[in-house]
Amino acid sequence: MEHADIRARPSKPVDCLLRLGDGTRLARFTTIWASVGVRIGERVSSSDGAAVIDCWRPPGTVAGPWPEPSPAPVVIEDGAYLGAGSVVGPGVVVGRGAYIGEGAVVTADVPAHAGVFGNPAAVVRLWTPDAGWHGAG
Amino acid sequence: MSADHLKGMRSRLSDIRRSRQAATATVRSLTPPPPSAFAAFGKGSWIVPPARVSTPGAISIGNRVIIHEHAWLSVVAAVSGITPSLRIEDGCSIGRLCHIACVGEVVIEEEVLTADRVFIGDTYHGYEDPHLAILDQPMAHPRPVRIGRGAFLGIGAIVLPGVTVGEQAYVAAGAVVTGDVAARTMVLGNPARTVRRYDPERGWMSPSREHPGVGQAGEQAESWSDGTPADPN
Repeated sequence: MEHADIRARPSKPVDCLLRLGDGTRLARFTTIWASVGVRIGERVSSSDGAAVIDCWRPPGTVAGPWPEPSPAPVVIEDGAYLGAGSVVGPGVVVGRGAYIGEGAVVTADVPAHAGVFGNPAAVVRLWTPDAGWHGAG
Repeated sequence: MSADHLKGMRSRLSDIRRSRQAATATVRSLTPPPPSAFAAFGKGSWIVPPARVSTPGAISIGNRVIIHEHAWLSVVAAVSGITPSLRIEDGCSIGRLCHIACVGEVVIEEEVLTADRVFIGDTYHGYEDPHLAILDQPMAHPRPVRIGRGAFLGIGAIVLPGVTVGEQAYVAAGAVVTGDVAARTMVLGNPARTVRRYDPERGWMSPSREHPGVGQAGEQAESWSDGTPADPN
């Protein structure tokens, strides 16, 4: 939707820097920074201001002296949801149908059908085929 | 022509006029003021529209500053006896959707880089009166905010009143900075806490473990989360 910022700027040669699956809907003020690779699956949805970034600094800006994690590809699997203002950072794989809580900052992989919240994000709820939903939520 | 017909036409005309007025007002309020309206506006600087800028006369922009789309530079004389001032020094690059709320003094020193959705405020909405809507209460007395030379603010970072972020400090994505950040340290989380400190001899150190931090790309995914509780319990 309107006001998205999609910046695909390769830092090294890749086949496809940014892939968006069928039926995916990202809301307003979305930020996507792809410098090494961002893959978003099918039927992924988001609320306003969600960010999927494979580098912590805006692509094309000069690296500072900080021990910042280097850019790494990000994958959002099918059917996941990104809450308002959430940030999915470099190297993260968000599993199928996962729920990223509002304002969460995700720096580690999210299992399929997990609900993660907070900064840094932690798994609060989890659905498994055997046990159904369980967790503090 | 019936009276109803005429009424319908009038109402449609009024709707058209209204939406035109709204469009004009939108363009006007989201077009940055000309450089001459600012207290200072250096060479090679840009505020990319749409941007909402209030009181440009209290805003000083250095040379080669770029402020990306959807900035809101809210500089307002909201507290009596205090003249607000916002200064953004040479070479700063401010990301999209940045909101600076300034009723006192906010200084962003040279070469500061911010990612998108950064909020910097030197005040907050007063809430002392429990019987009055917060909307109707005065803004709190401002406390100066300063972002040190060459610092970085990650995506969605929030810097609260009275905070000084030191030179070359690194504020991670989503951090809520409630207190001063020393020069050349890295902070993350809400509330933000220090996870790395630069030692001139040993490089970036993790203060909790006093082992050398990683200075280069590689094992960083783990070291980044050092000192970060993965489990909120």
